[in-house]
Amino acid sequence: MEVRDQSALRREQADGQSGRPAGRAPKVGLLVTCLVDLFRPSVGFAAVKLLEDAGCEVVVPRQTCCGQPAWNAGDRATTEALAKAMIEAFEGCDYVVGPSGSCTGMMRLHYQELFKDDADWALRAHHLSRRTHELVSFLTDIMGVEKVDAAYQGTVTYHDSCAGLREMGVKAQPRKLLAGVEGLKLAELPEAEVCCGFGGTFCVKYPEISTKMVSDKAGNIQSTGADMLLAGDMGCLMNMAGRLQRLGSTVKVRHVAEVLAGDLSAPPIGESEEKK
Amino acid sequence: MKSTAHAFKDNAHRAMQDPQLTRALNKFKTGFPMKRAQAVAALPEFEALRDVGKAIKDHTLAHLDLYLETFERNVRAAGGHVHWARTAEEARSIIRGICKAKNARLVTKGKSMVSEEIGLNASLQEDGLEVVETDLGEYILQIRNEAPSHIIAPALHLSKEQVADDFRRVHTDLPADRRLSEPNDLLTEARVRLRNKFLQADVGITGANFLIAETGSTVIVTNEGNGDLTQSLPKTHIVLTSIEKVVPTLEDASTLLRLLARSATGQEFTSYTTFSTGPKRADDIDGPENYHVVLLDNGRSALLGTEMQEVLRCIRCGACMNHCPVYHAVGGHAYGWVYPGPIGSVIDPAILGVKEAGHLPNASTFCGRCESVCPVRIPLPKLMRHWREKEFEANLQPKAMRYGIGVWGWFAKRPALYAAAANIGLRAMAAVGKRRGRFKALPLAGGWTDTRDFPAPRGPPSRNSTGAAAMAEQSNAARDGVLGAIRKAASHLRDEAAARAAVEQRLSAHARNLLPARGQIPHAERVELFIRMAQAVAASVERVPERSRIPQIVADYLSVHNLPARLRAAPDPELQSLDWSGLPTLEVAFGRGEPEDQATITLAIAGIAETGTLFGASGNDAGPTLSFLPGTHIVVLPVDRVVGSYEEAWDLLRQRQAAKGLGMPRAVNFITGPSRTADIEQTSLVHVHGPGRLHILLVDSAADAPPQGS
Ligand code: SF4
Repeated sequence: MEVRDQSALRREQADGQSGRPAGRAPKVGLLVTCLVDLFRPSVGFAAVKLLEDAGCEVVVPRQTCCGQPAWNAGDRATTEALAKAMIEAFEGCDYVVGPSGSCTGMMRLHYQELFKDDADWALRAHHLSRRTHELVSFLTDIMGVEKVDAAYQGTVTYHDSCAGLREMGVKAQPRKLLAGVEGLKLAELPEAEVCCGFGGTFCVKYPEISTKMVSDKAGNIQSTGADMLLAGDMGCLMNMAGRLQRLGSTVKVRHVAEVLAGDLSAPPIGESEEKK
Repeated sequence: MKSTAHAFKDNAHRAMQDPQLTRALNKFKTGFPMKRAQAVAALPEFEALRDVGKAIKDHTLAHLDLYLETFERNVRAAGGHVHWARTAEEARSIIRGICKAKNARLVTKGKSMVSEEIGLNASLQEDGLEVVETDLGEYILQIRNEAPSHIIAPALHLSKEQVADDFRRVHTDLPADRRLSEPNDLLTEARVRLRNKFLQADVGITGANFLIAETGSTVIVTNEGNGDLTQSLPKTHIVLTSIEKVVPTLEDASTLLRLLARSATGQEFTSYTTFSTGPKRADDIDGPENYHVVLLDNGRSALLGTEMQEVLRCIRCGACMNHCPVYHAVGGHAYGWVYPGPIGSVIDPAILGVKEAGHLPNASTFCGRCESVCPVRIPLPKLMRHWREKEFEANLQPKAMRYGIGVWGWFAKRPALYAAAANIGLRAMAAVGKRRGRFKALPLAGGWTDTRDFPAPRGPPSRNSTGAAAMAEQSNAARDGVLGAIRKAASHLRDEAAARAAVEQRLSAHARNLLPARGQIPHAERVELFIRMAQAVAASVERVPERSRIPQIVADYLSVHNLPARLRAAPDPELQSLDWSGLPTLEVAFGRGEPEDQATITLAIAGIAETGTLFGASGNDAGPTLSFLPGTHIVVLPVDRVVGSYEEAWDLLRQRQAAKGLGMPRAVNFITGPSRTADIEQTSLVHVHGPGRLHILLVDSAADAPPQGS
């Protein structure tokens, strides 16, 4: 796996801030994320189940967006306003956990950079950063979950979403938990660490390049023979699902949390109720 | 080079329609990352070396003025000239002036991206000079009148059939029905053709991968050996380079060299790494009589002290583009200027302006793969984001984008409204989505407008006076300009006395940064490692129980390889003292290498176990004509000179030079295997411009000679 400079992560692990509070269920603020909220609430419910099964108290503070679209568009003012709102929203929680490496990466790494010239907010961003985790890695690394109670009869393949992989160090954790899902076989995806071409506004600014990238990804997915594609970020999943379906593929696409939570009641991403 | 960066989208569209380019990129996108991954896995210290590499560059950039002055002083002390150029135009006019003063007609060139940056070839051709690119890939592009599509693999986009067609079109003196179907046919034809150019050139121009402040050396790294022939055969050598390439010491360069090849091509070390310092010395058998270094700024000093400063750490390895999915989709030409891929997306706006090159930092998914492999840990996505901020501030982004972000931002700042709006959307979508399951477009995608034309900013190069006095005056002004700009950026950040002390300390300490454990082993094992590593890069190694046997062994080697019994030997007392007279059929001539020589023999100063590298220097025991002209190069290496690391070799050299009362030799060569290339369809071939065979005679001292047959 390729390793990005993860000094922020390493520092945090060194100062032990990620340890569980003793004596009571940790209070986890669920970062729902815009795409889950808008397109796939089932992922939010799956996250709640997984966190509660792991012994957490889950709260959902009123929230909007982590600000990443503005940040990546070069709009600092809007990003700051959104970041401040998110920092305030989650200040009462022991942890902030979200089913997205991209949004949690924004809060964990980029808020600190955003506020580097503003001492007060930098400190608050730092406190938030230390408590922010991507869902699956939180379950294994912080809550010590070894195995989930779920079953899936079939072969899945897994795409490593860029921010989760390179910003949040998510690689082994989902594979570890998937290995414990009854009946599930994992067929590794060739070039699993290569971007699917979503990239937020990239896919609408440079649709042709994005399409080429996601077509290559679709080819790799189909080459595995898996019947289902999993990943940890809705943006990537919608992008890949959209392309697979346009190409007439029957590969089902889901967020990894849905499989780990054992709740496949929502139709796969991009498929209709009837077809299910 | 004229930019078409503003037309990135059209360029990309065309590129993706090109089946040959797609084929080449498909091979490239898995091949290069795989080779890098293997090289990194083979060196446990690699991640730590990246931290050290970053620190070396950061330290140097914080003291850039001081190191450049030190570099300049040391080039002059070695008998070379330093010229400062604030702009591309100044650099062109300096080089034109030198060529004019030397009455040059033919100029050979080693690979240099800076020369692409300043559009050097065209300006020299305007003066009536013949300019010949000698890197195989660059040569192919030159006859096609095309720009490089990659900074280290310039012709990666072409097929061997395309190259064969070009050779037939241009090399019209050769039989039309000759075979050109295999990469090796093409290579051979290019070698023969370029050989005469090397020999006839009046001026050789190379770039530099590093500049060494401590010694005033310039460093080039090649696999083909073309850079060495370019710089050592003509009377005049011009190094065209840029200010951020300087590092303090030989040790610092050694650390960065460990990162460079592994990141670039996945090699442990490139075939040839050469440190050049000044012109030919009194006892050198070969080398140029004039040595010039042109130091280009061209927008770099303006990045110092800004959030963009980190990009000046770049060592131009190309790893970021080798791993970039956007580069893999569109190739290098689509970027529209000299530097493609992630590094181009950060540098090109700095040099061309964000208005011209604004697409490039936008055409990224921020997947972060570039940053994850950058040997000096440049946060490329972050720097691209800075360009987007500049664009946003300058209101340069397309209207729909600003409007979309604006509306979304206004809602997103208001949680209750946002929730309501999202729910409206969700409900509306659910109604359709229940039935269809999917939509044809994402939010914000509609109404997306794109292309706008930007005026190309550059005019033709103007003609400057090139008289010597005018040049000197211009150079002084340029020197003050460049150093002044650097100091202005640094002045509020540092205490001058402390900065000078830190620089002095670093230059004199020769601190070893981080030696790979691999070579730090007992001598016998180190010798074994040297042999293994040398063989891994296709050198052959023969153990010689004692010196006196060398003539016989050489004679046998030539005969086994069907080579004529003729040998050109370095005129070194040690080689001359061997008894060659016992072999009447072997013709031995001592002196510099000549074009007709098929086999030569030289002495190495050291062998470096960590990469199986030979370490030698120009003088009377070796020299570029002996090491690079023949097809077969035999090197004598006493076994007790096998050291673990590059740094230990530098110590040996320093001792040797001090004993002779000399400074840095004109050329120091690291030779790792035979000459090679992968410029044609990424196929690995040996024997480009340098030797196809490298044979090492590892001579045991009498005491530890191995038993016969071992
Ligand atoms: S930015 Fe980094 S990876 Fe890219 S060429 Fe420069 S040093 Fe290499």
